[in-house]
This record gives sequence, C-alpha cells and structure tokens, in this order.
Amino acid sequence: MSNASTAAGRYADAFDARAPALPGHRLAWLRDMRRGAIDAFSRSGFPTPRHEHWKYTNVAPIEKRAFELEAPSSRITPAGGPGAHVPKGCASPCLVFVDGRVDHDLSDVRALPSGVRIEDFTHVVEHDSGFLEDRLGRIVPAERTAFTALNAAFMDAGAVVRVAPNTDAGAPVHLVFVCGSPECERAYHPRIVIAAGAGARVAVVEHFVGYDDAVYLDNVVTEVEVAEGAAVEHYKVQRASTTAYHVAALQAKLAAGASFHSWAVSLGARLARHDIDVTLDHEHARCSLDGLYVANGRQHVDFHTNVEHVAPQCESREYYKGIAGGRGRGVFNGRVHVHPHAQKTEAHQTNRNLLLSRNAEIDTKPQLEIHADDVKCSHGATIGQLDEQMLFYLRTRGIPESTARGMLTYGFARDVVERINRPDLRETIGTAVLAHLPGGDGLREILE
Amino acid sequence: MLEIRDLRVAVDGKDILIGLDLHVAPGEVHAIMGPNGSGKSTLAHVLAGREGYEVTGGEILFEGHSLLDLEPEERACAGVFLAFQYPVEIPGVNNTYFLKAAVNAIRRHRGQSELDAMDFLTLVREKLGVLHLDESLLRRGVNVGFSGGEKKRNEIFQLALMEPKLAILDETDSGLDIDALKDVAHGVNALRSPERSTILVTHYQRLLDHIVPDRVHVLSGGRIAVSGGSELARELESRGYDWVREEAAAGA
Repeated sequence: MSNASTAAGRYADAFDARAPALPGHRLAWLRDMRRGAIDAFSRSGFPTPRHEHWKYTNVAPIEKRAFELEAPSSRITPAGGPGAHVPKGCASPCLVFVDGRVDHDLSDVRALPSGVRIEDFTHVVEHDSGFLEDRLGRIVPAERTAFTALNAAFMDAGAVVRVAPNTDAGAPVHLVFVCGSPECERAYHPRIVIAAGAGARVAVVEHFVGYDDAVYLDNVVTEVEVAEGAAVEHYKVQRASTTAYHVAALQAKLAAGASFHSWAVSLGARLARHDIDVTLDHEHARCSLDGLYVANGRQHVDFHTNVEHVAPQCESREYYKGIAGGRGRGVFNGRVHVHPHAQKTEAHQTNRNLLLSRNAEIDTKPQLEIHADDVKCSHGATIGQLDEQMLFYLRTRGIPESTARGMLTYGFARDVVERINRPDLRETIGTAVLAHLPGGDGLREILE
Repeated sequence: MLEIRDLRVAVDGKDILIGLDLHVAPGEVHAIMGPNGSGKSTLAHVLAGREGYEVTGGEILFEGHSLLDLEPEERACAGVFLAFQYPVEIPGVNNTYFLKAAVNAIRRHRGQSELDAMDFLTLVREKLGVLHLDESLLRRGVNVGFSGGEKKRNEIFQLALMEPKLAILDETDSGLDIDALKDVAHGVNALRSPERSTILVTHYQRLLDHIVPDRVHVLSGGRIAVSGGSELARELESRGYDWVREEAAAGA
C-alpha cells in the first residue's frame, strides 16, 4: 500500500492502475522489469540537491506537479495541427509522435534501404519482443536514476532503429516528438533503442518540440548499441515548450573499433537535464560528444556527461558550449573515468560558456578520474562575456548594438553547429539555434 | 565637416587631451602626427565613440551636429569611419556576412534599399581588386587568421565599401610592408573627393608620401602644438619630435 500523499506514492498508485494496459503486459520479463523499476523508484523517490549528481538541479518543480500518467484517451490538437510543429527539414525517413502516440499520417518510414528497420516501440513489443528482451535496460539499467526507473516503468512509446551489419542507413532518421496536451499536464516516457550491426552506419535525430505554454514532462531514455566497427551519429534537438520539463538519459555502448558521435542542443524547456553516458569497454572505440545549451529567461539546463574508458586504446572528445542570459542557469558536469587497464587512452574535454547578463549563472565542473598512467587527457573550462572590443568594432560599422550582440552570440555558438557532419542537418539545426538566441531574429543570413 | 573645439579627454582620471582644436573642411586630408603617448589614438577613438574615454570639456561638431551625443553605430551611419590600428578578430562571424550587414545598416540609414547577395557580391568584387585582397578572406571569420597586412587592407576595404564622409585612419601604416602601404594609399586616394574628408593618424611620414595631406598637425602634450602644410611632415622626419615638444613647453 503506497502513500498517495507523496510523489513516489502517486506514481506507484498510477502504475498499479495502468500496468495492465501498458504495452507488453502479457510478457513476464517486461512485467517484471516494470515492477522492479517502479519499486526502485518508490524506494528512491526523486533526487534532491543533496544528491551529488543533482547538486545544481533541483527537480522539486517536477516532483510537485501531478502529471497525468494515464494513456492519452483522445487527441485534441491545437490550431494548425501537430504537423505545423514538425520541424522543417525532417524529411523521410521520420517517425512522428503526437501527444505520446505515433502519428502514421505524419510519419514516413516506407522507402528504407534494405537492412534498415525503423519501428514504433509498441509495435516491436507486440511483434518482436525477443529483440527487446535482450536489450531493454541492458545499456541504461532501470534503477540508474529515479527518472530512468520511471521511464522503465511507464515506457509506452518510442522508436526502435535497427541497422543490419555492413549497411549504410543513408539519410538521417528523424524521430519527432510533438508533446503537450491541451487537456492535461502529461508525463511522457518515450524509449528509444538504436542498434547498429557490425560495420553499419546510421544517423538518428531526436527532435523534441511542444505546444506553446504547454506544461508537461518529457522523460526520455535512449539506448544505443554500436557493434564492432559500426558508426552511429546521434543528434538531439531539444525545443520543448519553455513551460515544460525535459529529462533525458542517453547511453551508448561501443564494441571494438566502433564510433559514436553525440551532438545535442538544448534550447527549450523550463528545466532540462541531459545525461549522456558512453562506455568504451572494447579497444579502439572512439566517441565524440558535442553540445550546446542555451538558458534564457528563467530556463535551467543541465548537461551531465560521463565517459567510461574501460578498455585500452580508446578515444573520447567532448566539446560543449553554453549560453546563459536573463536569469537563465546552465550546468555542465563532465566526468571522464579512465579505468586502471585503459592504457593509451586519449580523452579531451572542452567546455566554454558565455554569460549574457548579470543575473545569469553557469556552473561547470570537469571531473577527470584517471587510474592509468600511459594516457593523454586534457580538459578546459571557461566562462566569459561578450567581448567589448568586438562589440565596439561591429558598432563602428553601423551595426546596432542589439544586432551586434546577436551576431557575437551566434559567433560563439557557431563552431558547435559546424560540428554537425551533415550539411542538411547543419542548416536545419542552425536555424533552430538562431531562432532561440537572444537577438537571433534578423540574423538569418549569418548561417550562409 | 568636422569642428573640434577645446576638446578635453581623460582616461582613468588622467588627462590625455587638454584643449584640442581642429577644423577639417570637406575634401581635405589632415594628418595628425606626434610622438607616442601624445593622444593621437585617443582622438581617433573619441571620434568613433569608444567607451572608457571621458570627455571633460569642449565639443565635437560633425556637419554642425554634436557627435558626442551619438552612439558608435549612429556616428557610423552619419558618415564617420574609423580604420582601427588593431582590428579585432571575431571568430564565428563570417567576413562577408559582417560586411553586408554593415553596408546595409548604412544604406538603411540613408534611405537606400538594402543590397541583396548578388548586388553585394558585385560591389565587393569591384572594390576587392583595388586592394589586392584575396577573395578567400571573405569566407573566413572577421579578421580571423589574417596577417597584419591583411587586417589593414580589410579595414581599407571596409572604408571603400562604406564610403563615409569622414574617414579616420588610426596608424594604418604601422607594420605594413611597402606593397601593402601602396595598396592602402591607393584605396584611400581613390576615395578622395570634394565631399569626403580624411584624418590620418600616424607616427611616421612615409604614409604621407603616398597620401599627400592638405594639413599636418603635431600633437604634443594633449593639444596641437604645431600645424603646417605637407612640408611639415618632412621636417618632422628629419628633425624628430623633440623640437616640437620644446617649442610647446616654451609656448606654455
């Protein structure tokens, strides 16, 4: 018997009520996984700032909200329809989810190269559960955090992307989540599984968008399995409503000679937390993690990265930039853990931040734990402001101060955008970034 | 064009200019010379509107209106241009984008239609040739990775694009080899017209062999100590600045 007056009790009760209707309820292993997860959550509850990993990010506002946890019953869409919220440039193949359910009209996964499968999570649960039984929770264990536990308990939508060995999936796969419901404040628990076979190549883009003023919680878990010699690019564009909450855990596990590139931008949400974890437990695996976070108004955004160098001769590179204006707050915590046998590790981390206002705040913490002696590791973290000399120079050329500030702000962010390997994505995402930057309006041509 | 009366400027509480008078008529080229620390660059920056320079007295009239009331961008739109001694590098802001934004900001102010990408490119190509600037520099960040000479050429390139009424060149000749110096001079001379005025701030006479000034002023001790024609520059080259300082001291 749970205590409904606490948040944990509320979630546990909601789980009990909904469990029989969750996807895969007939599958014992999935039932057990969900039960184990909600029990873990009931024991832990939401983290507090006393917890080291949540020191700068207080999730009390999420805890206090009584998010709707029932499945969406009907779909009421705001003016313009959900299609208007699908970001431009999301060409085929794409899977679009509206208010927590796949929208077949907006999705297009028909003309896929042979060996590439892009499916709705619930479909795979129903028709190919064996694939998921071997994978769900193997990369991101349910009990990792309170949020991953909640995701494991309630996961009811999402995508499974599979690429057969030695197959190039070609054009990026777009997964679009249009969130927010006009009828209630809902919590969404999408689960994304990406599995690239040996020697395969694939790029996946997760887009999160929301209706204006909608209050909701995205609680996402993405598990990425990169087999021997495979290459996965993962892009994340977080543009949730500025009244919403977004919590996401992304973890990749790399086989020998595999590579993983994570590129993430966090622009929306009142509070956003991104956990990015990579495990390099086979030789010659390499990952590069790039990201940009923007916190304006009263936005709070937190990136926690963690690279586990378990095997020797692996390489990791991180390049993150943050911009905070208004009363915005940015947090970066980059942990690199080099295990005792991980000789010849190369690990480099850079985090640069730009403060645009007196009341903005950035907390950055590189965290290198090195237990091997033959390694090359570096890190650097900076926090600065717009350069007065640059500003003056632009103004002496007739450029108004606000425009000049916008140009310099985008100029700061630009090299992160340029780390997007695919030109079409670079333009789409660059446009989205510009639209969210202070003074970004009217700078459209700066992207050219 | 420009009328400076009894200008007094302090930086960090220290008086730099202590009563400077200067009159520049339309079409004239004036050289401001003087030893290091005499306040030449301060004058250039005050004209452009740089923060951190406290005007404690006097006035600056540009076409009859006070410049001191205007923001740097408003001065630029009014027709004042400063070519910097040390042009700043601006990573992430593409040079072409910057130049087009600048040209169009001025055009908007003048009530002219903005140039589109094609028209702008035509204008750019026309002006680039004069300065022997490589077109590849346009695709880089503003001044990023430019050599000293390229930075100075880029300044004069901007001058050519923006066609100001009053151009102020702050030590544009410093650090230039003879080819770059000639290109810069050529760029400036090409713009000379009865409506446009130029102030050359320089330590050395050699630029004045290529851009012949109508008037030469020597700044010393925070005010203009000596003025003359272009022959004054040659005299300074042979005699140095000490005699100016001595005369100024004797006069004071």
